[in-house]
Amino acid sequence: MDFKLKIWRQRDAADAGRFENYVAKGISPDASVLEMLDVINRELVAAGKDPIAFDHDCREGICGSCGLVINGGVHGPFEHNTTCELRMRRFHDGDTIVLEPFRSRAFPIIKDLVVNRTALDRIMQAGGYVTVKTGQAPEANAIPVPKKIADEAMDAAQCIGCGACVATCPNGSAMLFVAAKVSQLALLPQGKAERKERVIAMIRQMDKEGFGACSNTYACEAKCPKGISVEHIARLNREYLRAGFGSK
Amino acid sequence: MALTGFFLVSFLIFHLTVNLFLFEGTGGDFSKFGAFLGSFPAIRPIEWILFGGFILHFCLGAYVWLKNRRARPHGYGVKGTSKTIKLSSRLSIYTGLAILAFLAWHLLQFFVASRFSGSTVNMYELVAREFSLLYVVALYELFFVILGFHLKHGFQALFQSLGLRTARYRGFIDAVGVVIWLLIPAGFASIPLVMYFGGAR
Amino acid sequence: MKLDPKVPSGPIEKRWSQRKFDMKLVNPSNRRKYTVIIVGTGLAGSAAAATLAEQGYKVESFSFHESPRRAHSIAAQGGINAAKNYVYDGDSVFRLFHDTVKGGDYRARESNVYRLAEVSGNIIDQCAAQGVPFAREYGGSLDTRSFGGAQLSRTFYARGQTGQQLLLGAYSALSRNIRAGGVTFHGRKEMVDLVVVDGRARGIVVRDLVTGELSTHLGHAVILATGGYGNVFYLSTNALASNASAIMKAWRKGAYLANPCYTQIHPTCIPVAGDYQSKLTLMSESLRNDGRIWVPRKGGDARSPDRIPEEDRDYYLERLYPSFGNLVPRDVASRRAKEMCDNGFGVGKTGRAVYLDFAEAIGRMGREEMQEKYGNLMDMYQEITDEDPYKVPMRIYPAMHYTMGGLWVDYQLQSTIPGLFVAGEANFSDHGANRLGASALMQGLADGYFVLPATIPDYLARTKFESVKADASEVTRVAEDAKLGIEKLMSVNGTTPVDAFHRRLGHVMWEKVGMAREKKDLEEAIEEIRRIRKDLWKDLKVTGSADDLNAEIERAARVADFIDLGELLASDALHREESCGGHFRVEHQTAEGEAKRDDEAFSYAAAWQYKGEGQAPELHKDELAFEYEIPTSRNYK
Ligand SMILES: Cc1cc2nc3c(=O)[nH]c(=O)nc-3n(C[C@H](O)[C@H](O)[C@H](O)COP(=O)(O)OP(=O)(O)OC[C@H]3O[C@@H](n4cnc5c(N)ncnc54)[C@H](O)[C@@H]3O)c2cc1C
Ligand code: HEM
Ligand code: FES
Repeated sequence: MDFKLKIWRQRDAADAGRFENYVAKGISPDASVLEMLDVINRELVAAGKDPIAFDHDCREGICGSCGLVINGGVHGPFEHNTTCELRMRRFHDGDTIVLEPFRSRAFPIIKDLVVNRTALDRIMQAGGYVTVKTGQAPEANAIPVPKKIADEAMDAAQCIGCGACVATCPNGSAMLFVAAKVSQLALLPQGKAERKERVIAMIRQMDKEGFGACSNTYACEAKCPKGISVEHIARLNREYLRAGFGSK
Repeated sequence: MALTGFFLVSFLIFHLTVNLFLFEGTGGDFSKFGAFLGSFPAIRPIEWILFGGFILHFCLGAYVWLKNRRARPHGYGVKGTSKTIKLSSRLSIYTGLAILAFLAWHLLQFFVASRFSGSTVNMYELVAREFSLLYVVALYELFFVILGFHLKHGFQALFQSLGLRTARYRGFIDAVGVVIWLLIPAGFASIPLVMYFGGAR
Repeated sequence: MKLDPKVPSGPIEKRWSQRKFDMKLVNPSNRRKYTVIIVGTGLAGSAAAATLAEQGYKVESFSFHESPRRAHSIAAQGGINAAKNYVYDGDSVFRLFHDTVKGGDYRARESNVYRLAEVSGNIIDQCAAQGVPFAREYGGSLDTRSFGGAQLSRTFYARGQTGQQLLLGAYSALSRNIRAGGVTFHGRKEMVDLVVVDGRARGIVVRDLVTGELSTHLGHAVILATGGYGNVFYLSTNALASNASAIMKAWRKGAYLANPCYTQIHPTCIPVAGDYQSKLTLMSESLRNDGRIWVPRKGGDARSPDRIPEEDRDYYLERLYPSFGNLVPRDVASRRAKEMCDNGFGVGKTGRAVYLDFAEAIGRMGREEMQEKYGNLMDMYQEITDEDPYKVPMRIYPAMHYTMGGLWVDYQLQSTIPGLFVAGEANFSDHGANRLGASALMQGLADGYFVLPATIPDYLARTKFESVKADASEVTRVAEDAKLGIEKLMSVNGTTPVDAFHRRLGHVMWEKVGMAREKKDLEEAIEEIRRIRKDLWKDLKVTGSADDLNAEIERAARVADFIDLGELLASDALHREESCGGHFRVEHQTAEGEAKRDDEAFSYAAAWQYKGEGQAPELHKDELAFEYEIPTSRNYK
């Protein structure tokens, strides 16, 4: 298949950046978007030019490294996939495809399509954990967790931390990301002891990083590669209110 | 946002209930209510709370909107990220501002007229006079469509923000939501229509 | 130098506790004075960093990933073994020990394996306490399943994302310690060399991948937890950035590299479809529980699979191994698939695939239950191949998956360079010549949570450290060399992008050093690899600059190391004149085509010492003694 490409190029954080045009020829319909970029990059290097920088690693939708805005859709115009999972057969021969980096104040651009997502790590550092040192753990079966609760916690825990929720949210909010962790740990008995401090600390860090606030548009749920539900945001809000009003 | 929004929804329901008495015609319970409310000693503080509620809601909304715009300083070359968002959600700030504009006019029309005109006005007649003008009726109808939109987003959002829109209650909230965002504006909307076409009784 | 594995003596079940008791301790108030450098934030690295920081040491953690959570451990699907015996089906520490030694084809160190089995239960406790959402039974207790042909149900799992959940657990512990100040994390920093002072590992040189800047970090001990080297085969199930540079740098500085030829090929992967392909995707092993593997009886049968009647199908695994059938171990299933394709029975456009058919299972349990059990795998397959596996059988083929070999370590997980410790897939320790399914996650976490946090303090307490100055020539020279290395890559100024060299290397490795190895092929491979090295230094083309984010430079440096590793791997395979586990030498097989071990001659771990550029590495034998297990030949008939 052949495509016309418009790709965001930006040398570094200080550069203003611009779209540049490329053509991709003879791309296999089974190739992923990233594999198409591999082809372009090979040609660029052969021609002595600087290849297009983009983040990726596992190429099977689990590491959360990849993330492009493709034709205005985060991880592409379809639902519940990552960029590395998106195959070219979903497009039409001859299509023009526009590739842009994730945009958010909290995700500064490093180069071309690569952004800095360490803000998400700092939110986790603020409270996305259970305080249990190595060696302090009780026998695993000593604390039963009903299957339903464990399954619900797993639904939330699936988050791959790619930041698609932030990139697609009109407010650049990281609520779904924060909610996934808060919800997982609030559901499980292991996480209950710190639930109050956790939710407050994580929300505070989220605000500090410059993420926007949730205005309940649910854009995130629609584009989350793992389909994490905004119900977890409801639970996050509840946890936050509960923490704020002091009852436990 | 959610609490002030909830307060405003409550107000709307109350306001609608009162307004529906307009259908009783002149001199009916509507004016009695007006008179009652006007003489009710606590009405002043309640009015202030109501204004406060609106202003607080507006200020919070504007603050959040501005903050959120700053969170995305650079937009996308291809606009499309919001395709998955319901129109009502995307437009809430604009529908909200429209409501604000309308409110100013609405208050000038009725509230200022009745409160500050010096003489006691027959509320029913005032309303009937206004709603005999076609452009007033048309603007009001347009406004109620906008209000419906605002509530379509706002009502369910309110529960989400309070953390109540869980799997269990999601269906129920959305069902009640339809009643709220469809029936309340429809209720309001019926008034000018009936009064215009039915004529003042 | 004689290899000393420092294995404790006494009854095997007492060895680890005795050793822990014998270790020297560091006074809590002194711990802050020690800096431990940890490269890698996968299961092994994150767990070690968190635990050592909790004990009070100053930890500097490095990863070439931006976030610790992106380490390749995230991709493990199936599960993690532990000898909990929760289902009361006869499991015990001793049985897990036995299964692992046997599964490794008697090429692992007994004491290490026993310790692994011994701490396996604690891992599950630790992870559950961190909030890892393991699968549960209705009553709330942990669920297990049987995995990879094990006859017991000892594999704990979190849907199809066990590695992800375990890593996020370790990452959360790491994050907590970063917040608390015990760990400093350095993301997008790639280790490019090891600093050895007075024979001890004292630090590393890292390259900032965003600015290209080189910096030196000094400490008292260095841990490498940098993962496996499967990408030496170009296409593998590993993430694209997984590489062997850290262990190769350590090798050149004097750490021995053991058993590089022990590589594991996974039988159920989506086959190669074309040149564009950048990686191979694993289809979980669990599929073999319900799928039947077959090829047409007639080579080149072009009919679509549903048109091929039963009598024209060859369910070869069921035919050859009546008792294990489709559930034979990974190495056996892989080799048989290759053999079928080599003999012209392969299917699909390329003829390099066999069918994995679910028709019978769907008939038995219905599409719904099938979906419930394997839904995400079926979807993934369809997304990649555009074929509906509910209707047509999956096409699968073996792919490079895991590397048992790695830097040689003693019982303390210390390499031959004092102060350099190695953990996780990067070391060679516990799996012998073949790893059992769901045992890598176990080993990474055992090393990180329980072994290193005991052995590192012992090393620190026993060593008298001279202070090392950052501007000492021994230190600055390392960074200068690293700089020269990068300049050298940039200045070749040829015409061929690095990708082409990597492909060429991968092709040789897969064809000649892959599933079935032969003397002649191995010798040719070594020649060919040397040619690739020569060509690379003559014709490599790297564009862009060395002082900003430039994936081409990163890749060029990694491929240069892969080339050296590839040669070592082939030499190791050539030297090991026997078949064992993942290493199959065509010359050494039984009449039925099964692997034939030679315990007389090869019951040792082969540890290779670097002797200088262009010199043949020297072999050191770490002899294996079996006191508890009697080596027998594996039989899955
Ligand atoms: C697809 C797949 C499925 C698997 N499924 C299972 C399973 O079901 N059960 C099981 O037990 N095992 C499974 N495995 C194997 C298992 O996942 C790995 O062996 C294990 O996770 C390795 O962990 P690790 O900590 O050693 O290394 P990794 O997780 O690979 O981490 C390596 C770390 O080192 C860093 N690093 C490397 N080099 C450098 C350098 N030079 N400078 C700086 N940082 C560096 C990386 O950034 C990364 O943080 C699977 C493997 C694959 C590929
Ligand atoms: C003064 C005019 C108004 C303005 C400027 C305004 C503006 C806004 C804005 C910007 C939002 C934010 C969307 C969000 O965060 O979800 C919002 C939400 C909302 N509005 Fe209004 N609005 C106005 C009037 C009203 C009225 C009259 C009502 C009720 C009848 C109302 C009910 C709500 C509700 C319930 C919400 C949802 C709150 C939440 O998110 O939890 N608003 N409004
Ligand atoms: S590359 Fe790992 S999720 Fe896409």
